Amino acid sequence: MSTTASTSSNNLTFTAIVKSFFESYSKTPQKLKIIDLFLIYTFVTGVIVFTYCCLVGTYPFNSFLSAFISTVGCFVLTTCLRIQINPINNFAKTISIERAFTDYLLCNLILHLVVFNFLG
Amino acid sequence: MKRSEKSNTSVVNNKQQDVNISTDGLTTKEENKEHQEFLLKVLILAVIYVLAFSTRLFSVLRYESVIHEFDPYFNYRSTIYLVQEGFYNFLNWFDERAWYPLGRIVGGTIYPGLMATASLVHWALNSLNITVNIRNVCVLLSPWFASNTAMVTYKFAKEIKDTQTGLVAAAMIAIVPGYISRSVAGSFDNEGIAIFALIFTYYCWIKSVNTGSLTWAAICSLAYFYMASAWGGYVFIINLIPLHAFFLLLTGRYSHRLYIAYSTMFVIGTILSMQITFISFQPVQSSEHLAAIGIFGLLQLYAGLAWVKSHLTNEAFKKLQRLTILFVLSCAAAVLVVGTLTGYISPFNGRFYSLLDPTYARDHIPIIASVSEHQPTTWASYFFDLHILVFLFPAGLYFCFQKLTDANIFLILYGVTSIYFSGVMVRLMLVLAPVACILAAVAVSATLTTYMKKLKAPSSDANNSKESGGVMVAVLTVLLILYAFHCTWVTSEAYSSPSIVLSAKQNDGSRVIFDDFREAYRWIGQNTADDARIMSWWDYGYQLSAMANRTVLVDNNTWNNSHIAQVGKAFASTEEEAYKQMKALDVDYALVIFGGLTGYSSDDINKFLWMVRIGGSCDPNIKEQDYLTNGQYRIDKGASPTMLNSLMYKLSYYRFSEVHTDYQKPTGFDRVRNVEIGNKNFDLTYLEEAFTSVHWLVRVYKVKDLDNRA
Amino acid sequence: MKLIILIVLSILISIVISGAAQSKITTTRGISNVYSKNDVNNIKQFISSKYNANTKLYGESLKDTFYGVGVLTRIGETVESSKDICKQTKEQLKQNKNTDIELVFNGVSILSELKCLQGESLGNEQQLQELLKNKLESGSLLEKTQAINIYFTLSTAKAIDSKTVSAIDPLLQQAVSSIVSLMDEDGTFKSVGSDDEGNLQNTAAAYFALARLSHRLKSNEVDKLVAKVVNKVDTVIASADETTDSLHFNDLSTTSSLLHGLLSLASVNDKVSETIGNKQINQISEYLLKQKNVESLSDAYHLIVGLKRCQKNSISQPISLSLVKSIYSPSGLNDIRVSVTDIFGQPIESSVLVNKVVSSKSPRSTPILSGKEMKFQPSDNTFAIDVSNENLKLGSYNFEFKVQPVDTENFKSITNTQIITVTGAVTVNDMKLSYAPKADQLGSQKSTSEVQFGQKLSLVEIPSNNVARIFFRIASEGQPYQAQQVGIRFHSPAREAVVPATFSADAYSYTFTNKDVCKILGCQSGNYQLDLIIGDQSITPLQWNFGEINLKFNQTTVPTNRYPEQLPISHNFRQAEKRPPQSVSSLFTILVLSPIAIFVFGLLFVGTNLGRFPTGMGFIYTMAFIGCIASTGLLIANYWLQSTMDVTLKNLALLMIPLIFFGHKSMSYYSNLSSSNIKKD
Repeated sequence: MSTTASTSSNNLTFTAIVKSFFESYSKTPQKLKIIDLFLIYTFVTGVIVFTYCCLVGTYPFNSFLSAFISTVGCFVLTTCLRIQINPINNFAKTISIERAFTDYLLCNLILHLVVFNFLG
Repeated sequence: MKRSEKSNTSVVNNKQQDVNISTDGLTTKEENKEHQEFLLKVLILAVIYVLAFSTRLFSVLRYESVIHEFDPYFNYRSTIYLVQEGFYNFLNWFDERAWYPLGRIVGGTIYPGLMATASLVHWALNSLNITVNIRNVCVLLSPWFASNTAMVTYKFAKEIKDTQTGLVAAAMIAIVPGYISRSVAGSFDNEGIAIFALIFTYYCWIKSVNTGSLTWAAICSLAYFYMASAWGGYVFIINLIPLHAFFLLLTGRYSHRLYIAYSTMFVIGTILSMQITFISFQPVQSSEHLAAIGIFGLLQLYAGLAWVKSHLTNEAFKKLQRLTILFVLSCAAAVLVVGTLTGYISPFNGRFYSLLDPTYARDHIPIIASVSEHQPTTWASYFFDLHILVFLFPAGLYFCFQKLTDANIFLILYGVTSIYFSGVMVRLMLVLAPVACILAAVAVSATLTTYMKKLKAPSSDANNSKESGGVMVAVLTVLLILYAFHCTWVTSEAYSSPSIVLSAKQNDGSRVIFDDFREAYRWIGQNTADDARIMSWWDYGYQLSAMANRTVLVDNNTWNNSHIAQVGKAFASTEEEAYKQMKALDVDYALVIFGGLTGYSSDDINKFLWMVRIGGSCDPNIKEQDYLTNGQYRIDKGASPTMLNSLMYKLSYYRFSEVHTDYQKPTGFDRVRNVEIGNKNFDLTYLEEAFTSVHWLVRVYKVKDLDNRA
Repeated sequence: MKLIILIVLSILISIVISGAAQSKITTTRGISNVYSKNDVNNIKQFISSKYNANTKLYGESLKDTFYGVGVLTRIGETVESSKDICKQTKEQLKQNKNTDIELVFNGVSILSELKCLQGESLGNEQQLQELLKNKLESGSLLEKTQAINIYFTLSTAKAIDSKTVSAIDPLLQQAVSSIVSLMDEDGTFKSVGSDDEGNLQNTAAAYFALARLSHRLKSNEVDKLVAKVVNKVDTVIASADETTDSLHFNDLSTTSSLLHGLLSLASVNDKVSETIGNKQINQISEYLLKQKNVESLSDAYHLIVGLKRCQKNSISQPISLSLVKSIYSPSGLNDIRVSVTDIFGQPIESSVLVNKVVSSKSPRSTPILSGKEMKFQPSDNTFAIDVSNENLKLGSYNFEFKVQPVDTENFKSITNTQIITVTGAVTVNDMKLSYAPKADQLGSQKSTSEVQFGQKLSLVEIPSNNVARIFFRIASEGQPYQAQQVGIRFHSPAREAVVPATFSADAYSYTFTNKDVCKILGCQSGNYQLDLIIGDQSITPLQWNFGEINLKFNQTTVPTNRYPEQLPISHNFRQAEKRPPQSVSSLFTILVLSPIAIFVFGLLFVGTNLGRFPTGMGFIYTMAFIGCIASTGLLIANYWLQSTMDVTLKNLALLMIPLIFFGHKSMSYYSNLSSSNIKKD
């Protein structure tokens, strides 16, 4: 334990942590990487929408809410999909990939229907 | 019924035992048993379905198919409007025949689920050419949904425990008085469908937590949407589910299934619930929904950290973890504080705050405190409404604790929170009833399973165990039989009165029916101008609107306290003052309910002090002390002069001095207060008596026009 | 004691005697209206308008024709197309087969009026005889009287054969007794014996029939029976609706028929004239003249019959006196004219005397003129008198005329009062406005301002503790004149009040203190215009703004309105929320769509697995699936742009079918693919 402690104490700078994180990350399968990309896209869009609302004011509050919730919802649903597809998690027995994907589409349909209804 | 129930459960337990013993692959014998089991299950469920429906039909059989109480009349009227005008017109409906000069935006201030359901059923039946009247649809909707609730409870309990529990729970909830009280035929109120939506939402939630599938989470959010459209109690769901998630986190039961279920349900559910105009932006602005948002954030944080952890070493992760948690929590706290201080996050709604602090309403919002359903629950009501469930409930909790699963924790939380809330308000006994049934079912089924095993076991053990098994089974059977008897008796005696038609037993045992309310409303509907305004206490507003079809000043919605206070002030003032008030409010008729002749104790004189309090909350000249003598509320000769000259007194007791209510008593003897009235033989100058119903229950007075100027 | 009783008794007796004396000297006033030529023309036009060219009858039936013809013949007009009417009538009578006696009565009457009956027989004599016999013996009262009338009409026109005469004649005596037996106790006649009560229509018909029968039969029994009926006439008349100047029985037709019957009865029995006299005839005439506007042929007929009977009857005939003109200027007083006519406007020879002339304001003062005879002007049948030298001042005067007709048998003298108004102009002299600290100092010169008629005084300031007075005289032709309404108006833009001026001796004045006007003007200080307003029915009205005063009041002003003035309602409209300018939101749109770039570039970086895209069936399924998903997206976008939720849901449900199908197919393809891959591994 002590040796590892000494070695790890050298790596505890923030940049070192980040680098080790990225190293570990690059080992993830390509499918998941595509999903992660989509997640980043959704997240950035959500942040932009939120800052715009903070700057400009909430007048059509329902429009802001529907846009924001749409981004949050897509983010969450995609995360759920990623969790279900990831072979590390033992979902494969109960939910096949195709089933996961279909569920994902259904939830997205409901989400977007409601979002567009709320958009005004 | 009770006997077969007991034998059925025992048979089912037997079969279950056999299946448990066998391992994989079913032999023919076991297949047969499977089929028998299935048939038995279906049979039991069918009987429960019919039972749940039929036990709620007492009032329809005794009186007629009529809507009860007060609130259902408004729902009925809205449903008629919806059926006639269409859904979009209904959502935009502005009712100018209520809250007279103000009107009421109905489309934006109701939960449309009930009306939409009723009109959907009506439309479906009529399009199949089964032409059912809309009133009958409304009257019988609650019993039908009660049957559906029993089915959903079966599925719910089955999901949590097993089939036996499900069957017992369904049987219990079919007849539990706490639920029947709000879902009897004719009680066309939100709770009738809300409990169904509640149990269904919880079932979907448990199912999605157990399976971690996105479909179930989506169905759960759709069920939550239905619940939000049906009842204001949807706040209970949106607080209990985060509480459950939080407890799962605390007990270290975090799993991906939880994350999937909660996140999906929260996001889609929130935006769905905001579609309802009455709720609009509350889910992101009010304090009641803060817990859900908080737990959502917490879950994201937890999941994110878990994911990052999988890519890092332990120490690095620990450092990162500390940084991140500190950062996020401080952000969240800052947002919370700023939001509450600036008032952006609205504080707790008065109604919900009184759930946390029961004394709040009594001191600050007399309107909420005056509703009889908002009074605290007594011990007697617990037993009355739940019977044996009262002591089977803790037993069920014990069994849940014995084998903790995700679903069990949910059940425990549900039980404990509903116990607390039902203690605050009588009305919330309704929320306790399903979970009491389920927990009691857990206890019963676990007990029966244990002791049936003992009965079935080959007599290798000492005889005592078999005897003890037999005794326990017999005791439980007797308890269940008593339960069934009690529930039916309660339903018949206490919860099946339509309250629009009263009945009493005379000395010789015959029943006398008081149909005064409908008589009076019909009279008003036929003998007054179409745009006449009627002033009465807010209790009768919905009924007046629906049955007499006239414009009213205040009704049961009680959304405008100062308007009600004006009406209260008018009733509490002297006749001249009240006349000025009534002319200012542009009133044509005044209506009071008077029980002195028949002994009906929910009349306006008994409610008068509430009128004074509410009127006094807006006009400091009206002091409650003026209407009491020595702290006592009296109407006989010793009553205070303010009381004897008030408009309510005069309208109730006008010409009452000409009546002999009892042979030995003097004229003008009030049978509710049991005294002779203090002010007799007076005349009214500004009003004239327009109508008094047969038993003097409803009295209508016409407000005279202004005098010609001399 | 005895003396007192004697005095009281004598007073009482004198009262009674004077009362009795006065009751003998009753003359009526005559009737106030006439049925002029204009009215005759109107009724003639009305009747003509009812003529139906198709059926060649008036109105709708023979009865209406009877009425129409009756009117026209009585007012002396020729009936147009009378031959056609006669022909029609005869045809209808033939068709009738003589069963409906009313029809026969109407038809026969028409024919007799139009004089188509002379010498001809109607045909169906036997049937007619049967009918008459039947009705005379056993019909109702009206039928009996109709039968009698038919019989008499036909026999007068000699259109009846001797067989019928010999059959019917003997029945007439019986008819009288049967009619009289139908008389009820109050003098009215029942229809049949079993009726409970009689009515006036029957009574009228009975009277007329009895008169005719009595005239024809001339027997003692008949006279006795008629006397019995006549005894009850006063009861019948007492049941009439009477006011001071009009009398009627129920309605026009009943009145007219009853009058007709009574007058016919009067011709055979003198006692009738004791019960119905000049006064009653005048009252009935007044009533009839009020019914000039007829709306049906029946009303027209009864009106004309009634009027004609009033005009000529054996009891008394009404006279009407009317002024030719009632308003005269002082120069025109030399020729005041009246005309004396009967009920139809025909002049009656008579002499007219002006009994007395008094001023209307003081009718009991000594008369200005009395007992002057009026001169007859033959040119227009009027009587004239010259009163120009009586110096009648402006005003109204009651002229009492006494008319003495020449023919005293038919006409009775009348005394009639008419009002004549002399109008002119007035002047105002000596208008003075004065004010002084005390009332008795008001006459002095230094505080008085005088103004000529038509001029205006300049502004006068009246100190608040002073008494003020406005003084003037009204004269007409040099004589002081007292007008009906003389008022002084104080007005300013804010207030206005009018006060009457008091008349004493020969002048008008109005005295006021600050307190008086404070009360009437609501204590509003300021300048007030002074107007003099004079009004009377005999002068042209006068309004003269003669001055202006300034009044100061110390008390608080009384508000003009009893209701407080409310603030005007200002509506607060919701301010539209601030929105960012268009450029900012466009920038934001671009900004928010920009992360797609991250996604696309990231994809390029990470690499897409397009190589593993399926071929063959899998390709089709996948493309179809993706196509369905894309169309769902388009559907949702369309919903946002223009559609409604229920349409969208319906379309979505439709779209679900291919979506689910293709989805299932492509997913099972992929799962097969992955399971075969796993099997391979």
